[in-house]
Formats: sequence, C-alpha cells, structure tokens
Amino acid sequence: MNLLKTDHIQRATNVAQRLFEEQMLVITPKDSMLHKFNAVGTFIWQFLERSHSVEEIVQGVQKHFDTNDEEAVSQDVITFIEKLCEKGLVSLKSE
Amino acid sequence: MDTLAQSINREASQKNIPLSVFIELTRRCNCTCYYCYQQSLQQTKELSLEQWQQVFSQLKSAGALYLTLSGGEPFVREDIFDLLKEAKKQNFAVSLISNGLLISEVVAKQLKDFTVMDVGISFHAAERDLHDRLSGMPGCFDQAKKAVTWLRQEGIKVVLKHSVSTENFGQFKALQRLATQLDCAFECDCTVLPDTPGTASNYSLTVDQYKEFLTYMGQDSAGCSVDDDQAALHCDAGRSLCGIGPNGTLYPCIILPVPLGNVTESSFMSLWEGDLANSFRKNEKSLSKECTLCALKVHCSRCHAVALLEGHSWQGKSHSLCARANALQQIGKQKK
Ligand code: SF4
Repeated sequence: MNLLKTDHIQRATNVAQRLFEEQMLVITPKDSMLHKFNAVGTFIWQFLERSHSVEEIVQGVQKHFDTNDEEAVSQDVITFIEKLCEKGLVSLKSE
Repeated sequence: MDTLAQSINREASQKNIPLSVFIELTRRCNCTCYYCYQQSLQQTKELSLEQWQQVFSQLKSAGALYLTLSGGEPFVREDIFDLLKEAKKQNFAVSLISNGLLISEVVAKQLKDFTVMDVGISFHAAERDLHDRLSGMPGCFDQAKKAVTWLRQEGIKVVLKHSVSTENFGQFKALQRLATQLDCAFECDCTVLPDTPGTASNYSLTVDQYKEFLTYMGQDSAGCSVDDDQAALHCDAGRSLCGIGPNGTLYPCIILPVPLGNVTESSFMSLWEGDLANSFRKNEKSLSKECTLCALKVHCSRCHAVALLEGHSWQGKSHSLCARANALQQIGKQKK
C-alpha cells in the first residue's frame, strides 16, 4: 500500500476502544483481538476522532511531541496508518 | 507468557478498574431451562433505555471496555438494538448471551452493524430431544442451530456455551464436535448454581464426573502454580469485573448476590468507590480458615458466588468447589 501525504484517513465506526492508564486499547472488529497503542499511536488514534490527511497527522504528531524531524515522523506515521488499514481500523476517505 | 488481555486484566484488577461488566437486562425469558436459578427469583423492574444510556456513560468514564449483555433472554427486550446502538456509541466491546430463539436471519444481519464481538448460544445437549426437554421449549434445538448458522454467515463469532450437569453429563463430547462442525468456539462450564440457597445444586457433578470431564477437556490444574497458593483463592470480582442486575443493583459479580447499591440511586463511581465495595474487597483477605489452610487450595477454582449460594458465606467453603478440587488433585496424582 502506498499512502500519499494528501490521503485522508478516517476511523472505522465499529471499533471498541477505551483509554486505559493513558494508553489506548482497541479491539479489531475482524478478529476481536485486543491491541494496546503506545503514546504516539494513542495520540494519532485520538487525533483521528475527526478525519485528517496523512500530512495533517504528521504535523499534529510533530506539534504534540515537539519534534522537528519531519522525515522520521512521516515514516512512523505512514507505517502505523498502514497497519491500522490492514487491521480494518481505518480506511481512506473517498473525497 | 501472559497474553495482552491477561496482563491488562491483572493491571485493572490491581487498580480496581471495572474493565468487564456483566449486565442482566431482564429476567424475562422464553425458555424454562431446568437449572435456571433466575426462575426462583422474583420478576423485577427493568431499567429503561434512557437509564441504561446513563449507566453506559458512567461505565465508560470508569474505564469499562467489555460489556456482556444477558438475561433472562436479552432479545426479549424490544429496545435491544437501541441498547446495542448506545453501546457502540460509547465504544464498548459487546458479548451477547442468548438461547437463539429470537435470532432470525434478519437479526443476525442487523447485529453486524454494532460492536458485537461474539454471541454465546446456550446448548444443553447435542441431541434435539434432550436439549428441548432441558430448555422447556420444543423446537429450541433446531432454532438455536439455525441462529448459529445465520450468525456465522454474517461473520459474527459464535461461542457454543454448555453447562455440564448430572442431567446432560457426557454431551460435552458431541457438543464439541458440533461446535467444530458449525465453525464456532466452544465454552464449557461445570458450575451449576443452586436455586435453593444453602445447598449444592442437585445437578452438581460428582467427583468422578468432574474427573472424567476435566480429563476430557485436558484440564489438569486450576491454573495457579503451587507456590502461588494465596492467588489460588483470589477472584477478580469487585475489582476488574462487576455485574449489574435488571433493576440496576450493582454486584461484585453478576452471580455473587452481595449488593453494593443501585446505579439508579447513586452514580456508578460513588458505589464502586463506596464503603460497601471497599469492605467487600478488604474482606477477601479474610476467607475462612477451612479455605486458607486447605491442602487442596492450589487445585481450587475458587468462586465466592458458589460458596455463598451453596453455604452461608462467600468466604466459606463449597461442596462443588471441593469436589472439583478433589478431582483435579486425583488427575494430577495419576499423571505423576
Ligand atoms: S472451597 Fe474447598 S477446595 Fe476450595 S479452598 Fe475452600 S475448602 Fe479447599
């Protein structure tokens, strides 16, 4: 999967989730598996409360974690979003 | 190695976060199962949809993630889909437990739109006549099987649930095969709650039956290591789990009748952090000497609810727990 910075990402609507001791617990709908996100994953998941483009997510992460390393953040964000897509937790929003 | 779910549950238990909540929506049911303790209880007022909406919201704030919706039969509530809609809105992972009678092809399709993780369908037997007789409802077996098939067609996980008793002993073997055939999971329990307080259920297994059943299921321990015998008597009730009855009464566990208050009179959190809940947790440290000094405790699948319902105190011993522990000890010895 090749994500573009302009792609808009939206959360699936049938996902069970809870913030547990500041980390997000999410259950994948397909297989009912429990997942725990780290701090960055938790931030991205909460940021996706509303749909955002990949670029906006990268900027959001940079701002929240106070880092200028756009290259590294982009890579991490894209890898994470791709995993979320595979698990059916998010999808690309059709314009 | 712990799975993630086990380690989250342990953390929740240490911090008293009610991760799993078992809700009995109603005592009404369209079956009259032979062992059902609910039939001996009075019908009770049921919380309305609006009241459950408030309770769900309070449970969410308290950290609850898993909701089990049961009854009675949960599908007799006409607003069951509104309740599921609310559970989805509040991002709960829902498990339903049903006899399958009201699950049509259309209902199975509708369930896909919610955050339903699985549906448990009760089977007393793998034989039509026996299941129908034990559920008190002719046609129940065929309908339950259809319900399973329709749910699976929609890709919904189904758990075939079976309570082993003296009335249907041995059926677990054929039911396990049926579960495989119907592509569902199989959960088997051999705890039969008595409907008359103070005695073990007439349907409770004998030590030899426990041995046969546990050996067949490949279970040769209660799941705790020998040097962890205090943990053997611990239960997560009132810590990472709790139950709420149809009228809003909060319990440490849905089958443990130690009321902690009513969620229609006080907020969930004020009850969860209140005196009754705290003294329940404190009292778990003072179980009866019969249990704390018991040589079988590492084999015991301690359940305070069974102890209370079969005896006089949730801190005491229980006939069926002792029989089961005895069976596990004998299996262990034979293995050695
Ligand atoms: S319930 Fe029975 S087996 Fe379990 S610890 Fe108490 S006395 Fe021992």
